[in-house]
Amino acid sequence: MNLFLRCVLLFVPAIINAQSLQLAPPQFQTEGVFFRGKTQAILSFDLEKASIHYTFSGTPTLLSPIYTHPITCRKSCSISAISTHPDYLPSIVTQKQFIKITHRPKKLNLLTPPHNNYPGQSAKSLFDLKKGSLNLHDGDWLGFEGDTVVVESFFEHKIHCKSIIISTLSDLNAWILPMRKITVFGENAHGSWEKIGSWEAMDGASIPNSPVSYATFQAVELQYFITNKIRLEIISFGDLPNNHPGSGKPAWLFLDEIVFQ
Amino acid sequence: MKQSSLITTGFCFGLKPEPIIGHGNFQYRINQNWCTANQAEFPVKNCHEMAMDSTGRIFMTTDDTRNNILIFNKDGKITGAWGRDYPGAHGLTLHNENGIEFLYIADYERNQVIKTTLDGKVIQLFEWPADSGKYANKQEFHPTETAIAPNGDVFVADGYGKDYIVHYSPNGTLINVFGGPEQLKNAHGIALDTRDKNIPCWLVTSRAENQLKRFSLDGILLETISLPGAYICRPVVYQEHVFFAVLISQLPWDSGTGFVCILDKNNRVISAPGASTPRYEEALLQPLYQTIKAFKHPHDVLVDTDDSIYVTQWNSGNVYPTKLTRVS
Repeated sequence: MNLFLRCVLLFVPAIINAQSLQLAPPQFQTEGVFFRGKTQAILSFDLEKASIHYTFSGTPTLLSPIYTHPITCRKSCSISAISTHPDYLPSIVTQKQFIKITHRPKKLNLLTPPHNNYPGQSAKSLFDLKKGSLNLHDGDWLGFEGDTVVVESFFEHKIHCKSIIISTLSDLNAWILPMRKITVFGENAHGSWEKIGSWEAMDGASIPNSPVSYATFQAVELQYFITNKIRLEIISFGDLPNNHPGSGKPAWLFLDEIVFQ
Repeated sequence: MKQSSLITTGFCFGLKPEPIIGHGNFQYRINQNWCTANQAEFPVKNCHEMAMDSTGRIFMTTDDTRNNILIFNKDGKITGAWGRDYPGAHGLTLHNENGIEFLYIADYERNQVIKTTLDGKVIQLFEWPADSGKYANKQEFHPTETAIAPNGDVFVADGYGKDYIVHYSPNGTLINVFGGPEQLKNAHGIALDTRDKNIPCWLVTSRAENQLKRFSLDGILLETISLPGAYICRPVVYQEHVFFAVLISQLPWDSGTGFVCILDKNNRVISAPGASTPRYEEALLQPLYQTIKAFKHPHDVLVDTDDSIYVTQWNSGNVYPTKLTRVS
């Protein structure tokens, strides 16, 4: 066997090994999602010679900015990041949303009580700036079994709320599915509710592709309206469809925050 | 203490060298092709645990009932296979009793621990602790691990059941239960820790809490060792260190974020192959997380006499164990 062939055979396994190993994505150290004023997005990836590339829009690449220090967010944004290293395949993209709260209600009334197993902190959970975790019993999630959830919010002063974001969970295996419809009302000068916005799932009652999505945010754009009382009617997914093990039984709806912007 | 990524050989011709993972004096070359057996001949589903006998043979449990026990030599060749009756073959502990070696198979689906010879003959069954008052029926008992005390008593971790440690005499008589859901969350593994000869103790996994807990031999909780980011499978005490596989570093359970971890004699992390650099701030370990996808869901480690580590994996695409060869 000549010297060249020996060298090739010696290093072929090394080539395969080095090129087939992929990096894990970088870690967002900032736990919170919701903020008032400003917040800092902190990323980490503790591996020698590795870099983090990030972007506020689209998919990060090697040409995207390299993360060097915490990123200050003064408005709602979504940060996507990858880790890279000269000797490994780049990671998949990790993404995190940061959602700014413009108006904070003085009080929320939860007119639909949550299920006894997932009471959270009742209405307080919906405006405490805390994102629920994958532990459904962490006290930050409110769970509803097949209900239409009605929430009324009261503000100290009259506000112009441009949009509302509802933070939910989707976990197919746990029978927790996204909302089907949201309708928003504002109280007018005559003391009656007036519809000011709505959202409805485009594809009706189809099951989401991803089995688990713990950070699902649904925005509802609102028409111009000045009020200090806003009412939401959130309609859950409904019955689980035929191809689900729980077919015919009601899907669960999990809520952890309502954001007024 | 930095995690190396390369060894220096192999740079000639511009070729990429083999990756090295780990930190400090515990760095390893990865060999994911240590065993290249034919899956049709020796099928595996989840590869759970391993044990080595006095002749260097490596025994491994898998929940594929076509061959629940596979036997490897150190070169990764499968030299034997047996067992079709262990659908939940999980924990595997080897114990030398007066010169004869036996295996203890914790089967969470059979709700039993089965003691066998090395060639598969069943010697004894350890049944659910009916008289403990902690269990209503057999179906609540899902053992995941066994450890043997210096006096020969048998301790079983009910890691997929009610998180008790069940203490039996060698003949299977129930003596005691301790731990349980108040003290342990997912008591997945247990090992006898005799590093301090004066105070032998049990090291028990509280996996969902990312903790190891030290118990006295009679079941008193002595100490909690917090290892944030480490969903620990079972501790393996080797010389003055503790080795273990970390199934995941963050939920969900199938996140594929596992790695391997090594503690020093003071139970501080000194290397985490496949993970971030272990760092302590004011004596508190900062959360570990996967950096290199060398593993998906590592489930157990076996440390060889040459300091190599064999790593089994759960739910990782029916793969045979990976070998880590120590280079520092």
